[in-house]
Amino acid sequence: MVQENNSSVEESDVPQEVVFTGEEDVGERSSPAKDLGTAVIIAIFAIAATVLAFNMPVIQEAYTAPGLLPIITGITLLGMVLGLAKRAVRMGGHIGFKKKFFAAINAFFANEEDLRTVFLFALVGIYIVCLLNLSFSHDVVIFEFRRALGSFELYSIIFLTGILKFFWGETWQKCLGISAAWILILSSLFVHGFSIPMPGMA
Amino acid sequence: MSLEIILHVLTPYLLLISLLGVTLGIMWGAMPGLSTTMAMALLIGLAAGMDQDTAIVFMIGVYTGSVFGGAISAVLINIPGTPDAVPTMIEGHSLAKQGHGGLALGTAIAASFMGNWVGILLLITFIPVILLLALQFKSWEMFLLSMWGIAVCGSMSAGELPIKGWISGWIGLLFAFIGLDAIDGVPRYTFGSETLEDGISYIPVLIGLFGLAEILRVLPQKSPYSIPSEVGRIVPPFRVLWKYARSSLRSGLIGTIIGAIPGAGANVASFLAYDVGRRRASEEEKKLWGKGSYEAIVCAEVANNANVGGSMLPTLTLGIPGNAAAAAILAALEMKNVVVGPTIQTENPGLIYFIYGTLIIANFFMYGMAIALVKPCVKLFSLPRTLLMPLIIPLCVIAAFAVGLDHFHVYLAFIASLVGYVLHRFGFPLAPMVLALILGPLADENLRRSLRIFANQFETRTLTTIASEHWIGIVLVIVVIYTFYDGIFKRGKEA
Repeated sequence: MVQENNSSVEESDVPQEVVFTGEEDVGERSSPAKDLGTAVIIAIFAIAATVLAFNMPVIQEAYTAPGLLPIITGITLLGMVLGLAKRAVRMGGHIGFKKKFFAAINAFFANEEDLRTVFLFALVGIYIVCLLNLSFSHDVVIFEFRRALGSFELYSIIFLTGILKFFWGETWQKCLGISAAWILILSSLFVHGFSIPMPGMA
Repeated sequence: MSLEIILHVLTPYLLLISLLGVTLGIMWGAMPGLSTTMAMALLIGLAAGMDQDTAIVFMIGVYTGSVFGGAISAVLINIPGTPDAVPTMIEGHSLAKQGHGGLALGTAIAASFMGNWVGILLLITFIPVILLLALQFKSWEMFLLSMWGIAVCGSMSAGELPIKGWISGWIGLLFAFIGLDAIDGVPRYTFGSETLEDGISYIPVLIGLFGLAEILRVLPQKSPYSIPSEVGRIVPPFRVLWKYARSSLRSGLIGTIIGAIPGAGANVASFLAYDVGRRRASEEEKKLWGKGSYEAIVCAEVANNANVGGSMLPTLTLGIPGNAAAAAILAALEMKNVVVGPTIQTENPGLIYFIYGTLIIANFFMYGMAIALVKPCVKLFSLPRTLLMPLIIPLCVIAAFAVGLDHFHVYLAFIASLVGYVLHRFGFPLAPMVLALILGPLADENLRRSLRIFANQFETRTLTTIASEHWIGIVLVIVVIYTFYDGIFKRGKEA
């Protein structure tokens, strides 16, 4: 939404400029080549959606067909992406597109921040797959108090410890301690406070 | 009955919940990288386990608190806790460097309090009018209103390139059609999957787009910030607010109107009020703009807080959320089987008064807690983002799971996070997609129903008679056409 540098705390008396680019922060990463690339992908998506909508059965009249609005949406979406593509071409997005495409991929994998994002996404994916597919639960009784501990607690503590170690960089013991405390508080709050079972327990 | 309901909000339990929500909201909003929308998206999961009144009070408390909370980090560490606090950051931090941090924060608190009041009063004034108008809406008008909501949300959230906002909304529309269609029961885009026949719930999508995707974006960034050692005494100076009374009222009006427009939230409100304020400021005050102006803080903070009341207006009367945070409140209400829209007064008598009362109480708590929490928040800033953000990931998973207690919703939130991250990287806004998921089924059903009605009417009535019965529809057609015209031929050419 804004294009400004947070770290620059200017000491001068020059007034700082506020640049508004919309309700969401979308201005800084777009380029004509990127717009052209996304336009092509979304155009394929729009065509596929329209074709599938044309094949939907018509139960009553054509104007009440289940595929009516999907067809209109698909066609208008196609029109919009063509508009986006036209603008991108006008701004030179097509010049050296192939070169820019491979350069963008190389730049992505050379950027540490992007690699950290890919790593984080992969870890979250593994965590969710494990959580939902390798589930188990055991009742732990401490004095009179019965508490079900299961796959959610185990996988979440392991996952969170790893993430904290990687991004926060403190000692393993500290990361493990915080993870365990947080996950146990969280699961107790939801299970006993709001009667919502944890994933893998339901 | 209305007084009885407002008094119900004053029961100790609900007061405590409101206080808790506001406190949590202020602290959440103050933390850089944690947005209001993210808080609201995650709260849907918690709301699933609460009763209706508690859920409403808690969510409105968090909403009110977090909109203000952004100002604390904006003034003290030069990082806006929420994006709408950027103008406050520019002005407030300049004042903090001059040793007036306490007064700058005090001004922001008083302005936020004032802004909330303007929003609430305008909400109370306009709800009966909009409801009266909304009851005249037939299927055709509801279809047009839904489409206009998505289109205008695209325009407002995408900035200078509205077409990207519309594309995001139209993709959301296509996803909204997944599942059995409501009229004939025909499966659409299900590819034989029984799970997909139930359709795509927008709640896990909201959690994925604004919760997980935000973490994917912010956590890998390396941007440390310095912690202020001395804040000074926090004095909410009402004499400053009195001095800028005209600016306050103008900004409050801007904030409420912007809040009522789908897709335009606190960010648009604070920037617009800031910009209008600069143009209308006295020559003497203009010189301070950008270097530490109290009037600028008043403009931005009154507007973004008035936005809270404004965003509730279309949410409650038309079922069209004013922004993504209001969409989360809508989701929580839907989970409690509360139907909002033109019939809200008959289907849920008293709910509107309950929400008025909740907003008023939350505003008083916001004022008190804002003063009390500034110093604890400074201590909170010493906690690194790399510690806080990972802790939210399991919360996102639980929130998505709580929606339907099944695996599908968790996977959906995960996929939405990837889609959200990629779309954001390519400059597409995300709010239109969520709004389209909410409004898509409504648009589809109403379009087909209205076409059937029109087909019957054309056989028995003249075009003039039909047009006179649908004058609101004609106005809406013009509004929809103008929205696209403005985006393509005016702003599109500027881009």
